[in-house]
Amino acid sequence: MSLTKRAQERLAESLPYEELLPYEQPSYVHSYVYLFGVASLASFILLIATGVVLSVFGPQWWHFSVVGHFFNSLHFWSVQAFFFFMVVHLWATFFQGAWRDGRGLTWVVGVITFLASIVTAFTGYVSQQNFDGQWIAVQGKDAMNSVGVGAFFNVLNFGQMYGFHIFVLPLVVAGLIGIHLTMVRLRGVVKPYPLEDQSPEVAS
Amino acid sequence: MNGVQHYFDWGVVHISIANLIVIVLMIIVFALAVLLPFPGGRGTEQ
Repeated sequence: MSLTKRAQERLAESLPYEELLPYEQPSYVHSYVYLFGVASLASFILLIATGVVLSVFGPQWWHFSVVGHFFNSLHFWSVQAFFFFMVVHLWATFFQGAWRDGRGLTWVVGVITFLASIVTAFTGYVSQQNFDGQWIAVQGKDAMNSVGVGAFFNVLNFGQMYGFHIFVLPLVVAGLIGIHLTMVRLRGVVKPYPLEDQSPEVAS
Repeated sequence: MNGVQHYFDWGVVHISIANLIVIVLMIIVFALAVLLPFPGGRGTEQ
């Protein structure tokens, strides 16, 4: 059987078209604590949208025009929101034990997404084209050299960092988020831990 | 970012006030999300 046919059958079986986007959730998904994943996703979409605008007009625009400043700030606060919600999402999934029942890889992909996002944010900080960005790059250079990647990942090279920030790493993070979401759709939201106290009042 | 930073010091803990505020806010938001009742009817049992 061909690879495409196998992939098609696997998808049709485990993620049928009718269930591609959720419009119903299990009854236990009835708490604000389940919203932080999608809040992270919303922040990421805003990050990409504002990042596209910034990359179209360039550093002079985002530093020296009022609208540029506004989009620069939107991009900055989107990344604050992205990490804020991602960390709270991490706490929520940790306390739920969200890796249970065959969801280990979903958890691992989430962790890798978090780490890739940190590198993406770092390349963003050194791509600001201001003294703050230069200061971070000079400090970061020693750290990169100390772990042996300074020759391949030169934080003082604006072109390389900017390329990483607006092309390579967003693709990586977006791809990882896509895999993470597909895995969540395939396996569903983890069930809460069973109650340990099975007294008649609680069990009923 | 270019101004003077303020720090909170407590034993080995040395953290900027800005970072401390963000961490406290995350804890508050997490606690509220757990404690506050979610509006609307419950979803379907699966």
